[in-house]
Amino acid sequence: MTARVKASGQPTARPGLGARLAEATTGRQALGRLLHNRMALLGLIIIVVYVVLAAFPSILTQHDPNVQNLARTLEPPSAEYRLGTDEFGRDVLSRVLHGARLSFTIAGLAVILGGLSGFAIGLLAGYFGGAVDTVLMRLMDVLLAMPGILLAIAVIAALGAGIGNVIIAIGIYNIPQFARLTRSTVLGVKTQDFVLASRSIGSSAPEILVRHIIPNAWGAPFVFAMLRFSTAILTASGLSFLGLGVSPPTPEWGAMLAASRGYMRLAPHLVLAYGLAISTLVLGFNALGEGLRDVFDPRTAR
Amino acid sequence: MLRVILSRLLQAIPVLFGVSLIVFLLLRLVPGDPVSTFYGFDVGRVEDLQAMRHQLGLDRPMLVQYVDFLADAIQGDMGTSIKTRRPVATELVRYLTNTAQLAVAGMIFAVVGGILLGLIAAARRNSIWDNLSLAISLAGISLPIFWLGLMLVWIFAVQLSLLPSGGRGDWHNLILPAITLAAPSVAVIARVTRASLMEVINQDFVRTAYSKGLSEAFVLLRHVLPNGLLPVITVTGIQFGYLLAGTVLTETVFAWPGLGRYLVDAIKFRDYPVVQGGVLVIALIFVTINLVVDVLYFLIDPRLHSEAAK
Amino acid sequence: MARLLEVRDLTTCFHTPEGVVHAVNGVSFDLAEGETLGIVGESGSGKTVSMLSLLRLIPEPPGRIVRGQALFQGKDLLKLDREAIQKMRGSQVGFVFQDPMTSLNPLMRIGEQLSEPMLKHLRLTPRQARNRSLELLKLVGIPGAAHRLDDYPHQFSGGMRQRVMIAMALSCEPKILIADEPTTALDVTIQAQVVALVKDLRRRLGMAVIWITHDLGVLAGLAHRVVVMYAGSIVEQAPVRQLYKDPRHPYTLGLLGALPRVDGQHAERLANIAGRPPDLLKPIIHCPFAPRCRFAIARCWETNPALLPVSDAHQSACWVLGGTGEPFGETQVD
Repeated sequence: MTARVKASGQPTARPGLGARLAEATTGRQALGRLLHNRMALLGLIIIVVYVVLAAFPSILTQHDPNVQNLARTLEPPSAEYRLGTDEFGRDVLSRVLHGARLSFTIAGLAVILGGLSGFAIGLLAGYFGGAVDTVLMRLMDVLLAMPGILLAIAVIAALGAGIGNVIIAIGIYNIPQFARLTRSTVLGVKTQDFVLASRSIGSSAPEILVRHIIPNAWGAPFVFAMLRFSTAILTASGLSFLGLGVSPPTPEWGAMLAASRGYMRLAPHLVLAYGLAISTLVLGFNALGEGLRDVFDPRTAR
Repeated sequence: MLRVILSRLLQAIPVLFGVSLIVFLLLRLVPGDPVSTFYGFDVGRVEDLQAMRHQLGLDRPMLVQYVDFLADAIQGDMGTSIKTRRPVATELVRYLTNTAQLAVAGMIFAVVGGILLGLIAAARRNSIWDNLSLAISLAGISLPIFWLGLMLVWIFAVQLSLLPSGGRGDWHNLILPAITLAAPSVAVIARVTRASLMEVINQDFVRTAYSKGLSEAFVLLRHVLPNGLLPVITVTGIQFGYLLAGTVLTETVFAWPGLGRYLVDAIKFRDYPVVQGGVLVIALIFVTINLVVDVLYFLIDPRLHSEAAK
Repeated sequence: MARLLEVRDLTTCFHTPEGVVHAVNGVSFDLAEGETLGIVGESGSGKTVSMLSLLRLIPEPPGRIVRGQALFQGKDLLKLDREAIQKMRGSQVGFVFQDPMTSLNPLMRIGEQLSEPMLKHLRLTPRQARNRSLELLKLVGIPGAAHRLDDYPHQFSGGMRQRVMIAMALSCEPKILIADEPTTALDVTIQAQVVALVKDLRRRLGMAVIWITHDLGVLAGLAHRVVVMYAGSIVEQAPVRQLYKDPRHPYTLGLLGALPRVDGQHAERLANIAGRPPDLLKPIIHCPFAPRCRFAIARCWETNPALLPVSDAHQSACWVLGGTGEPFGETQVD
């Protein structure tokens, strides 16, 4: 999902999801409503299933994802290979599940990296305001001027391909989104009575930040992090599809999809399996996100 | 209004300046340079490498290189491609034309499809149409566009032989890539349109319009839609940027000779001038679009005119 | 006077997540040609919903017109197909809504908004419609009308916008003008002007007017007859003088008492009616006003009184103060 942000630095006419998430602070109640939301529940179930299968692939298959069997390449699904075999005779199901593991790792680390950096930047910009705010947020504008996957590509252009660099690239790509959200949340918290009171008794800036601002400002970015998973997964697989991310033989969904393109006529099950694997997981995160949106934004509730 | 445009324009300049600086630095602070890539590792003659570095100006101080790069860029000179030895600007223009064709076609699909889908969902809230629109939207943002592209090729080119699977040609070649490129934007625009129109649909003036005896279709198109358009325009502007970024993937799937594919090739080859120029041009386009969106706001809402005049 | 509109047993409800709200429960009344009918009641009494139901302007879903008839010149408005009811709206029945600030499309020029019904119903050319829009603006007393056709609503004051609304409602010379609390959102002095304007236009154009209000005082010099609504039902209706002189429902008494009186008399007046209207989510068997009624007797808690004649043109639904004759409505339906 896209955050409603603009490169010109002007706030948009209506508050985005982030700002509205920021308004809804009590979590317990929200969680209850979330579980009653069919869309969110569907998303949660999909994600949980993926997590379990990624953690324990042996539930479904005993094959090693990297063992080649050149005698049995491009086989359609069978009892032995439930999703068939790829061009080197490897078990597709096993590769799909190990790909899930990799996707979770990359997306998780990237969102944590981008989220924490963005949170810190937004915190400083929002709390200190003035020149700090201007400089930091202009910098975010610069990052936002490279839309979508392009920023990640630019980073990869500098760092080169590889799992670690993909995580860094997607992390950087997430920084401005989190920084903006955190900043707007902090701006709201900062003017509340308990902060003003704390300042009036002479608390230092770090004290106020740690004791008052952070505890009241982390909720919205935290929820937002859930929403960013879908984009992170898509971007990671996109980079690998382009040959700019994780390269074969590592079982990465985008890379495997790119490799199986050539066999689309001979063995369409390969493209189907990898594509559906990505789509379903991303759908899970998006459904959860849509549910969160309904829960936190009753105006558009269905 | 002119003042609004000017102030936005002034805000855009430091952003572009920053983009150029970041791109410039990113590509130089990192190990690995184009000259050794060009010759490969087996070429051992240090003098040759030095000579080529000197020829490309890569042995000068970083700041000098940047100022040079910027001064040239402003004049439309983006340097020479290391790989093809042709001027980057000329190459960019050629590839950009192809990308623009694809992006505009994609944008038309995205705007028309998205608004239509959102309008139907808002007008028939909680009906089967609304749910269908939601399902399409969820699919649109969930399917990776490179996979969607492959599936469309598989269905319409391989199985049905209705449309070409890639490459450039007449408008037939444009359909599948444009749909692929538009899919995520259709989804987002549809969602925003639905949410925005649903707020408008309950407003008093809509009831007034119905009380005048106007038909539902007319009320929706003439009264509801224009009033719900501002958020749609914002999100469309943002989506245009994402759509441009999406061309990188779409062009790769459909072998479309555009800027995105050119850029990816340049990255793999460490063709600095091309990467710099390409990213800069896309950022420039994106910032320009945001500027246009801001101005459109003023054109659409007459209430803002009088505020700006104050 | 010939009968123009006959409403019988109109019943409308809304399906909300909390349950079914019974907004209008079996409302019946008549309207004669050229007559001004006042409909009075608190907010939530169903007066607006019943009027919107007549032209099927309530959003469906969640709203639903459960049953009833609304005969306009012999045609049942509730049974017309979609196109036919659209032809009625604006051409035969004009609507003026409560809040002129929100009832006009902020993005359309006034002239365009005025022209719309005429383009649709009278099939005028845009040029003719524009000329007639100008006449209408003059008719409703907008100063410098010629220069204001191309203005947007935000360039008008509230009172002027309400004049525009009235001009729009009258543009196709409807037989009925329904004005839904048209003065509530306006300043007191502007209110008087709007009331005077409608009275003047009615005299000149000869249409019937249904004036919805929560303020009985406005109706004194304006309406011929008054219908009092409470909790989705009519509790009393009478010619305006008779209602003031001889109110036969405690709720009407309360509304009259709530009126500020110039002579300062009426020492016993109720400044406000204590309590709140009932929750329309639950079906009520007793008289809906009983919980707030100082006259309530045991019978009021057992059955809801029907609307019964007090005299010829006067009906009331009250066990204590009301009429005793045959039920209104039932005898008059063919």
